[in-house]
Order: sequence, then structure tokens, then C-alpha cells
Amino acid sequence: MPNTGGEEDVPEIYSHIFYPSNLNELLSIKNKNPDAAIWSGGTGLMGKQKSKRPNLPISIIQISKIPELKKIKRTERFLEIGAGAVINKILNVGQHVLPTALSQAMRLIKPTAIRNIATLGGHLCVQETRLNLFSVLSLMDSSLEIKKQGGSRWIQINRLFNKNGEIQLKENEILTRIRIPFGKWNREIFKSNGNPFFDMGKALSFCILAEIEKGIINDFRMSIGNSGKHIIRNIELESLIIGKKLPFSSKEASAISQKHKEWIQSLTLELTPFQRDQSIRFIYWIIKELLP
Amino acid sequence: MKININLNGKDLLLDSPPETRLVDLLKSSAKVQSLRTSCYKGICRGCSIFFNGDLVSSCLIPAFQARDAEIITFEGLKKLEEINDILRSFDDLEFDPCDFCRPGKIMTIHSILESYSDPEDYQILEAFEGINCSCTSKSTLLESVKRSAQYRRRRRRARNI
Amino acid sequence: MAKDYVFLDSVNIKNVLFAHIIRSSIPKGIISSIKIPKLPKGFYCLRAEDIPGKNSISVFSQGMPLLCDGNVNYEGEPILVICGPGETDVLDICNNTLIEYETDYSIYSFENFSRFQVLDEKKFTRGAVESKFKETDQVIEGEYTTRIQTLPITYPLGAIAKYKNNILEIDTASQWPFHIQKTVSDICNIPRKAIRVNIEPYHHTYDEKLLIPSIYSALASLLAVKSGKQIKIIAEPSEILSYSIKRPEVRIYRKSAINKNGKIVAEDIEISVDIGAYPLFTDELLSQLILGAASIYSITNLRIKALAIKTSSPPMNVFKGCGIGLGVFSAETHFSRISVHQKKNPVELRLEYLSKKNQKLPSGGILKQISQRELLNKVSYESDFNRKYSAYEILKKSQKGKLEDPVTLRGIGIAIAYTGNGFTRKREQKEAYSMQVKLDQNDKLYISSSSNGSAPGNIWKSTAGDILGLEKESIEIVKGDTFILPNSGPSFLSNDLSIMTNLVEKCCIGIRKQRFKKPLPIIVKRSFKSPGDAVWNSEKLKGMPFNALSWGAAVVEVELDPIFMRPIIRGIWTVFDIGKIYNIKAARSTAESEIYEALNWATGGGELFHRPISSYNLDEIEKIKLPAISIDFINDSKRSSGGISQLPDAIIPAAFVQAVSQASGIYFDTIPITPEIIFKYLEKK
Repeated sequence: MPNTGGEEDVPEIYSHIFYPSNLNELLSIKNKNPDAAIWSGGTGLMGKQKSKRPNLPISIIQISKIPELKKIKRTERFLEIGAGAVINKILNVGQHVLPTALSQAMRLIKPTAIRNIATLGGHLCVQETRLNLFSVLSLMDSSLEIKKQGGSRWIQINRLFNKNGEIQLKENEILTRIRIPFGKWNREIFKSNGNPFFDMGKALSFCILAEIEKGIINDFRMSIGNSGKHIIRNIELESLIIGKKLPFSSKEASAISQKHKEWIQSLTLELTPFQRDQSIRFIYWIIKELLP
Repeated sequence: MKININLNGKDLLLDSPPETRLVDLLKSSAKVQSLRTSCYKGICRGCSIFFNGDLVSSCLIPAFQARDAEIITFEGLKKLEEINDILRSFDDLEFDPCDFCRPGKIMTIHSILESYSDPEDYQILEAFEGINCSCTSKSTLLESVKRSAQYRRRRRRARNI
Repeated sequence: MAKDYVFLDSVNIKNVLFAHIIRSSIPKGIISSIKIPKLPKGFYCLRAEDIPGKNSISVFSQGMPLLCDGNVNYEGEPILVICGPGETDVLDICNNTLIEYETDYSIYSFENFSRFQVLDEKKFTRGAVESKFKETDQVIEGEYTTRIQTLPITYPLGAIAKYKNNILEIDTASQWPFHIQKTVSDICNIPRKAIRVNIEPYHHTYDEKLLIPSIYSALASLLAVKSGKQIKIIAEPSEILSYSIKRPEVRIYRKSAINKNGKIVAEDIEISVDIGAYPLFTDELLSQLILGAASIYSITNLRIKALAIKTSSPPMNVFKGCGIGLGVFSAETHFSRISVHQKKNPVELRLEYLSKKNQKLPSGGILKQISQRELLNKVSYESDFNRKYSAYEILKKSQKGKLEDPVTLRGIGIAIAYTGNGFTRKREQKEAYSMQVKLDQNDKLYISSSSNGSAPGNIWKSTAGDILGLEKESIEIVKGDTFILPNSGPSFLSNDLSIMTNLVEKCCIGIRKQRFKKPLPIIVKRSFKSPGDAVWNSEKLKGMPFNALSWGAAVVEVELDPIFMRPIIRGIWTVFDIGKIYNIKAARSTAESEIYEALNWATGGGELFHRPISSYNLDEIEKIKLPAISIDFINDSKRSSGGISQLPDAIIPAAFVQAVSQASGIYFDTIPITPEIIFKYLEKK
């Protein structure tokens, strides 16, 4: 068997780690090291590594100890959660204030031990993947506080990524808070099929928010998540449903399902035929089951 | 890099490349023998530890993330009184997980009991999702966890009297 | 609490060298160059040309290279091994080793294999199949596929070896320690009496510990001899998943000739199995596939051809047994398909073809005291099969064309089969199966065997205790190595439970005869003698193939989630006749675990505990729960125990597929069935 041998030594390259102890320190380090990766729970990156020795970014800023990023605050109008808050802590502390769809979606993050390390900010910022909580928070018109040294701004959650699924944070910026307005929603539904952690390509989730008063749908929003680059929303369908009286007549139900079917089948997004079919069946079922 | 941890009540200073998985660091440098590496994906729970009070899969934690962490492994849990709630139910029901999965299963059961005083079937099954060792029957597992919860409730009530 | 066992990967040894295998990244080709980074002092590299003896892992008359000699035949084939004092450094060197290949070669696939890929062939014929097919008008045919299955969990695999004072000492967990001894001897050119294999206990196995430990032991031994140091080689989980063992893909094409009276008069069956790049256990695999596919029904004219197909995949052969369940899947699914065509109840059709007295296996072996009819009747009664089957047939017909509606889709299926103990090839049985039992002066009993699975130990203690009137606490299973323990052959196909337990009985009876007559200690050794060709002719496939048989029948009821297409288990009923049961609780626990494993396989790792989403209120969170599983035994203490571990794999998938077929109105003929596959078949329909 041929062997040409080799003369080069194996270079030793280890990641460089920063450990800021408060938010100001973090912003300063990020400003000076714009290429450094923010590391909170790390489950997104570590979960993808197959070999024993993970391949990590060259420069990392570990933010799990920063107290300002873990706060959970509630006012009359909104709930604010720090980007570094761990999912299970959010579920435990916020169990009486969390919107139903959000807590349902959080509960479905499995295995359960993952929820003890994964953070809300980390969950939202996974590259090229819109996971379940993004889908829910997007429907709820949540906003995000983005900070850099010497400044901050709030953006709508939908502006976190561009059309190509690329994150829109500048190199020296970080996500610090997530603000969830308390909505008028009196029906909140979150269902999912499959678990992105076990099988990213197959999992499908549905989130529905409805404001129903005296049997009339005043507002309605629906999103489909397939852990792809985008959240899928059929705005036309939502408009069709708003203003209708519940329960739907069979003619109305068929018209809505047909509309959704035509729309989902015409989408050019990466949805498998099976996922499209599931969403058609799901909507068909939801329309029939949605009661005042 | 040098990493300070508190392992089962003892302070340790370990030297490791920062990206070494915590499970491998604990096995090689801290000589922890109860940890299993079956998936490196955080699913099998063989590498379960209590990390700052919460049950996590240590294969998902790089060494650098463990700095100043309080870690309890199965070796540490064995020294606590609470483990008797679990072992007693194992004896009652002749529930005997194999050497491979016993530490991970006991750690998971302890975590369930700390979270729920009267766990329901679905809470137990969800907590055990991904633990694929089939050395024990699932129905006996459910029974065992519920009985452990019963013992724990009684013990805590007795302590409070 | 008992002292916790330390697995090999957790064993810390001073000054040990860590070894890691570098594997091929292509499925077929020739290695054109290898560039290894400069090895620091104390690091070693092992290649095929460094092997002093045979570069081969052999099983009986078949083998595969230990290290690739330049011709790559599957992705993952070991090419070389690097070892050194630091594990991280070794991994770095391996990651920086560059191997170049010439890859302009066709890859052998299983999908459209050609004649030259057929490595082995086995045939079974009875009666006049050809003429019966010519006479008949109606033919029912189907092709049944069981896809590759990977390990659902990885247990530690590897070895630690050291060479000191001319003794090679190996630590590993193995189902076949004496195979390791022989293999290492042939590879390292060291006599067997200078190789000590310390037998580490293992707890659960999918049979990855049958041959794979021999590979790691051989590599560790070669490096131990080369370096003079202790070597530790432990496989990473991803390595075990990709390159250790897998259940091979099997395709079985079946054709049944039905005469004008509706009787099945002939069957023609062709089996092909993907054995990967190298043939191992091929003859056994083909024999067991034939036996499974032949079914238990009295069909006079039967022809079966089984082909072992070489492909560019890693070698595939053993996986929870040797393939009988894969053959059974085709038989039971096909039989139920015939019942649908003939508009007959599947249980009634089966009873028509089961003999009322002394059942014969297709190979001619006569079964006495076997309760197949009882099994079938019992399981169908307990599950209320007949009523549900009829009800779901009506439901199926009324649902035609309405699958968009989230309505109730239910189905029920049934299967019955046997599995066997031990190898069918008696030549393989000439592997020594020996047991030694000693009673000492303190009335303490020591049972010595190289079988080291933990499960049979309690049964041996219980058996010995009953015969000699001893408490379990005074009986010890001796732990040790190949120098002191007798060769008990491979722990495979429930040998430990049937053959070895039998030997324990014989040894203890021998001791009982001598006790109080001869002075202590008394040592008795017994070995298993395989019956000759008169009992089982493995070339002609004639007679009684196995040492002991286990029988089982299962009913599986499913509901199809109409939205997510998930098959949800509503209930499982099983009845087993495994001969003598030593511990009913352990048998029940094993049965339940194996049923879940079989379901896991049948659903492709699907979520087993869900309810249909349409059964929940919209706002309700889902509360998963275990399906209802009923396990019953017919305890025949006169028959030796056949073990239970292979049975659920044989009967559950077939019953499951039939149930899903009825629920969906589509003939499914493949395992696993996932929601995507259900959708694909629905679309085709």
C-alpha cells in the first residue's frame, strides 16, 4: 500500500474564550472582537457536532454568567425575557404569565434535559433555522432589543433575519432582551409533529392565535414552522378567516381549506410533499374544530 | 486552559483544551466512572450530571462552559439521603437497570422527583425520551418512579413534622 | 448498593497508549497515497503490511480483512491505526492524515444487483411447484422488504491489550472470547496458550459483541506487541453506529398458486439479502431466512431460493439473531394478504393450514407437544381479534375516498411464528460448548463458563440451587479469563439459556450423584454434542434445525392519525410458548422490552406513545402514555427453554404492518413504516 509519509507537524489550535461578568464588559469585548461567537447554552452548535472532539469557533464569548441577560420582567403591557434566560427557568418562573402557545412550544423542546441549558436567545439566533419559539414569538409581534457598546435599538422579531435567512445583527451587536406584548388572544394553539432536535428535516409545527368575541373571529394568525429558513404564513387565508362567525359552515370550511391547499402547493419554499400534505390536513381539521 | 469546578462537593482545578466535552473531561481528568458516552448528542442521557442544580447532558457542554460550575455526578448523588427513595422502590419491584444505564436512569429519576412531587406517566415518559437501553421494562419503570415519589413525599413529610 | 461496574472506556491506566482507527471515506476504490503527519516519539502507526500473521477476521470458513490492503470495498473499512500517549493528539494526527484514492469503479448496490454479486445461494424444494403453477389460474404475489436497521443505542466497544513476559493479555467485553483468542493468535502469530482474554461482563447486546470485539482486540494486540506498551482502543459512538453491525436489508418475493377451491397449492419464494462487502455467517443467514420464509403452514409444494448479495456496504449479517424474523415477516404478511383476497378471516385461514396433530416444520422436523393452535386461539380471543377485524373491514370500506376527513382509521393484524436456538449448521455446533461446576468443602458452588452475559447467570444459579438444594448466596458464577474458564462457544441465539442451562443441569446432576459418596471438592465438566445429520441436514435443509424452539403469537391493533399519518398503537396482545420458564417475571420483562424494540424497528424509531392529534381538545397539551400490552405464557416445563429475545422481532412487525394496511386500505409490504411512507403509498393509490 502506498505511503508518501508526511513531514508537517499537527498545528495546535484551541478556541480563545472570553468570560465577561456583566453586560458592559460583554459589549466592550464584542466591540473589540467582532468575529467572536456569542455562546450561551451552546446546544445548537454542540448538538450538530458528530465527533468526540467538537469543532468550535476560534473565538468565543461565554455569556451564561451575565445577570442582566437572565432577567424576566413583567409589566401590564408586556413580558420581557433576557436572551440568556434558560428555557426551563422561563417555564418555571413564568408559568402563570407566559402566553399559552409559548409555554406549549417551550414544553415541546425535548429532550427535557436540553431545556436546562438552552436559552431563549440562543434558540432564536440559530443560523438558517427558524425553530418553534421563533414561530410563536413572531405571531405575537414580539420585539427584540439589540445592543452594542454605546447604543441599543428595538426591532420587530421578523427583522432579525433577511429573506435569505441570514441574521441581521452587525458584528458588534448582541441580542439582549425579548419583549412579548400581552395580546388580545383568547385562543392559543401550538401543535407539532416530530422534534427538530431528533430530526430537523421532518419536524413540522403549527401555531394559531385567535381573538374570538361573541363567536366572531376578530383577529386570526397562523404560522407553520419546518425548522427551515423561514416561517410560513398565509396572510390571505388569515384575512379570509377574520370577521367570520364560528362555527364555520361546511361551505366556509371547504373554501378555507381549498384556499390553503392551493396556496401551500404553490409555495416554492423547501417543504416536502409530505409536509405540505400534513399542513392541508391540519388546517382542515383546525377549521372544523375551532369553536367559539 | 485551567478550569475550576466543584465536583461532588470538592473543588478541582482541571487542565483541558477548552472544546473538550465535559463528559470526556470528567472521565479522563476527574476519573468519574459513572458517565457513559453513547451518542454525543445529548439524547441518551448516559452522561447526565447535575450542572449548577439542573440535570444536563454533559456531552453537550464544552469544558470552557464548566468554569466555576457546581457539578454532581452519580457518585455524588449516591452519598445523598434522597437516593434511598429510589433504591428502595427498585428493591420493592425487583427493578434492576443494567450497569450501563443505571446511573443515567437514577439521575433522571432524581431529577423527576425534584421537579414533581407526584409525577404523572407522561411526565416520566417525556423525561426518559431518548434513553434507549431496553434492559428494563417500561411499565415497571413507571411504577418504580411513582413509588420513589411516594417514598420521597413520606420522608419529607416526616422531616417536616 | 452494589459496586458500580467500570466500563472499558472509563478505565484509567497509567502510561497507556490510545489508539484510533482511520477508515476509508469512499465505498470502493484503490488507495493511491497516504500522507501521515510526522509521528512524535512514542506514537505508532499500524498498517496491513505490519501484520505478521493472517490479515483476516474469520468466522468458520469465511472472513474479511482486518486492515485494508489497498483495495477498498466499503466506506469505513479500516485502513490504518494510530496510537500514542495523548488521546487528543492521536485524534489530531488522524484528522490530519490524508488518504487519496482512485475511485473510478462501480459501486455494488443492492437495488439492481447483477449475477456476479451473488456470493452464495441456497435452495429448498419440496413437491412439484412448477406444475402446480401451470395448473392454476389464480396467483397472489407480493414483494416484502425489511430495510437496514442501525443500532438504537451504542454500548462501549473496544479493547485494552498488553504484551508482557510473552503473554498477551486482552480486556474486552465479548460474546465469544475464544474467537478472540483464536483470531489474535492467527493475526499476531502468537500461540493461543500465550493469549489470555479477560472476560468483561456485558449486559445487553444486539450481537455487536459477537465479532466486533475480535477486530478491536486484534488491533490493540498488534500495537501492544509493536510498542511494548499497553494499548486502549475504544470506538466512538458514531463509529459504532456506522461501522459495527446493522440488520441487513432483505427482499422476499413470494408467489402463491391458489386452486379453484381456494386452496394454496404451491409457493415460489425468492429471497435476496444484502450482506455488504464481505460474507460472514452467510450460510446460517440464508438457512434461517429460508426457514422463516417457509412459514409453519402446510403447503405441499414449496420452492425457496435464497441469495446472498455482495454490495459496497459494511458487512451485514448478525443483528439480534440470524434473520429468521425477516423471513417470518414476509410469510405472515403474505398469508394475511391471501386472506384479504379470499375474503377470509386471517385467523381462520391460518387454522386451516395448521395441522391438528403433530405439526411438521416445512423442513420435515416433527414437533410434538407444540401448541400453535392454542397460541393462535388464545391470542385472538384475548384481543377480540375476530370482532375487531370484521368491524375494521367495514370501517375501511366506508372510508374509501374520504381520507382527507380526520376520521377514525383503525386496523388489526395477527402473526404467529417460531424462532430457534443455536446454529442450524451443526458444523458450527462443533464449536466447543463446555461448562464446569465445582462444589467445594464449604458447600459453595462455582459455575464456570466463558459465557458472560449477565442475564443467564440468575437462571443458572436458580437451576443449580434447585438440583442441589443450595441457596443462591452460596452459588457463584466464576469470573475470569480464557486460561481458567472452559470454552462455552459464542453467546448467541439464546445458547446461554438453552444449551448452557442444560449443561448446568447435567453438571449439577453429576455432582448430586457423587455428593456424600466422594470427598469434596467435586468437579464436573460437561460439553454439548451436536446431533448428526440424521436430525438436521443443513445442506438439504431437512429435519429439525434447532436445539430448541420458541413459539409466539401476536395481535397488534393500531389507529392511524389521519393528520400526521402516525400509526398509533392501541393495543398489543402476545402469547408465548418458550418451553420451560425459569423466572416468569424476568421473562415478562424481557418480552415487554423486546416488544418495544420490535415496535421501534417497525416504525423506524417512531413516536410510540402518542394519541391521534384529533383525539385531543385543541387547547389540551398532549399527554403521552404507554400502549396497553398484554403478555401471556404457556409454560411447558418439560421442554427445554428456547429463550424469548428473537420472538417479538419475528411476530410484531408482521402484525403491525397488517394492522396499518387495514387501517389505511393500502397493502404495506415493507418495514419500517413511517408517516412519510404511508403518505407515499397513499399518493400512489
